Amino acid sequence: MKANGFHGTFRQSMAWLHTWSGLVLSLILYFVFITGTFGYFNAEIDHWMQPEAPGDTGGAEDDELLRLGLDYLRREAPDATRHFVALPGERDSKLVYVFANLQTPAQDGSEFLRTYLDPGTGQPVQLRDTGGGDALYRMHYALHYMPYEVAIYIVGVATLFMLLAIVTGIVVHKKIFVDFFTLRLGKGQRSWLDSHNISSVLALPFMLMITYSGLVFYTFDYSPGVALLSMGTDDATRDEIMAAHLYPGFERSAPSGVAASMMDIGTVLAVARAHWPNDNIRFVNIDHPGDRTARLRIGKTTDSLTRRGSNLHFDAVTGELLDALPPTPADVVFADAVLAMHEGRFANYGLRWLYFLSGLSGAAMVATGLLLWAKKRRSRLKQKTVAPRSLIFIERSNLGIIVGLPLGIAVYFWANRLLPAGLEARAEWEMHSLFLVWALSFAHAGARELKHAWREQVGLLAALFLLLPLLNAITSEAHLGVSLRQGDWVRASFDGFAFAFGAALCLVWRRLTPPEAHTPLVMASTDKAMSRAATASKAGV
Amino acid sequence: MHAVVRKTPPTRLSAPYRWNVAARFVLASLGGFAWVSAFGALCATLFAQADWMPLAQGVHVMTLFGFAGWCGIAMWVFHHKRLPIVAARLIASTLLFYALFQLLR
Repeated sequence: MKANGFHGTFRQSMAWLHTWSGLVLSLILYFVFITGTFGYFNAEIDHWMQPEAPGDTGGAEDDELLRLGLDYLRREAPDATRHFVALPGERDSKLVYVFANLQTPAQDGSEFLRTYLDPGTGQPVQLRDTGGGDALYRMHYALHYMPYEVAIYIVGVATLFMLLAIVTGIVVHKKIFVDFFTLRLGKGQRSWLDSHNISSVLALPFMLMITYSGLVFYTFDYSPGVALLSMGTDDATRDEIMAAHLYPGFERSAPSGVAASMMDIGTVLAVARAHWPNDNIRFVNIDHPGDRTARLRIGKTTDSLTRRGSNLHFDAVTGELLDALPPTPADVVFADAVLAMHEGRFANYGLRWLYFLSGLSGAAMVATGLLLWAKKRRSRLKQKTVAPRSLIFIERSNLGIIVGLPLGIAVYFWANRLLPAGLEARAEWEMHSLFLVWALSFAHAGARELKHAWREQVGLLAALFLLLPLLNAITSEAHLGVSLRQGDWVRASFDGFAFAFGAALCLVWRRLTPPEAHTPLVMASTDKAMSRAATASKAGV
Repeated sequence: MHAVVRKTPPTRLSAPYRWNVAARFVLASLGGFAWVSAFGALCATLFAQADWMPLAQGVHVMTLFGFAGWCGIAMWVFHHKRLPIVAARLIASTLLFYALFQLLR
């Protein structure tokens, strides 16, 4: 291949682009990968972080739970423009979620009513204020401490860089299949390159899918050019045209102002069950409840890549099943499928774990890329005595990035159990603790000798995860013994995973060079000094 | 522009090299965005006028493809040896697509 490009051959130019597009926003990419990966178990983390929530519904049927939720909303928000009741899924706490759009704001100024109901009593459950798994999940696209509109663009730019890094990474690879099976441990820089290749190649289809689909979530925010040119700059007109295309048949009926009594939910459920004999009902949504034009939408748990067929629409007064939605255009089906793949909406637990491991693989890809870059620079400095400040800064930042964020997340879980239940803005303090510890990790990495700092931070991370089940046992009534006895596998699995992850980190900690191993350097120099002294003595100096 | 054609960048990067990289970054990001937008709008209009698909669908399809297109543009911008040629080709083709789009709509 001719060396006629910016940095030589095409492959050399792409190698340069791969390095820099992957490196420049690696902090954000790592953050997105780690928090997004935890997001695949957001409901499970929510459940663990709210130990007050029951682990079972006490045998109540779906019909009873839906009635219980709708009755509560009719009682507490009779004038609402929308009632929504969600049943607990297999991944959630066994609570009934109710939501209403209020016509007149509540006493605290809120325009919504949202709470969880105890399936036994039908009364709101007092749960601790926590960000839960949803806060981690939300951070992977909305970040934290900044406006949502700014955050999604920062993540969008990072995602574009990631897409470029992946595509150029594929171009750079000469032996993608061989790399899949190559891991040479204990070979310094070569080992890090192998680790980087394996973590990238192993989950390559996932990486491509997750990166591209991440962009599709905000298609017209990230790339508004085509729509702006074709449909003009009037946002309302453009949104209306695109909404009609993207959500065909999705039209909200206007309220008539004429009161009418609602159809019994049992009749509607019977029709829904006839349509979906093998699926569970997930939610019921009523627009303009109590009005003559009220519309009821009922949804099922989805195991499909598309949203078509997962909702049924009814006249909420007569119970008549309304016409099916018009056909969805192919491009919308494609975008839907891509988004469903990103979120893993359809995934059972086996697939969800695969998502989780692939996400960790993505984080490992970024982490090994960072370490490899620093190792390369370090290896070029062999003859020099002092490394440039930029390299020292990056080496120390790498520790803060790679270990600091998981440390922050571990402390986030600890804060959930240790912060007083009545603390004001408790959920926000959980989040403050995450970022505070992350910042401390950077400070520690900057202050300590790097090898010691790695060992200490990995050790602390191992201890925090290893002891999490113990902390749970001391501070809550939902510890491993209880959850196993009750068959609450979600909580039990969380404790089990934390322990196993901590144990695995202990192995990593053991492998990290102990401080004693540095002594040969001193001994070597002492030996040299002794040897020089002996030579000098022989020479009679 | 001697620094630009080296196979591996020098350890201490020269100012022209840095400016070259910065210019390519701007070209790849903003130029790529403009190119993808103009080309996408032209194709969406063409599809609509040829009755292949409604305008909204064409816009959606071309925007979805646009991310891959932008990626390709960025790769080309960072590979081509001569920056002025990259800039000229990118700007000229964008203007051409835009002019055709205005003629067709």
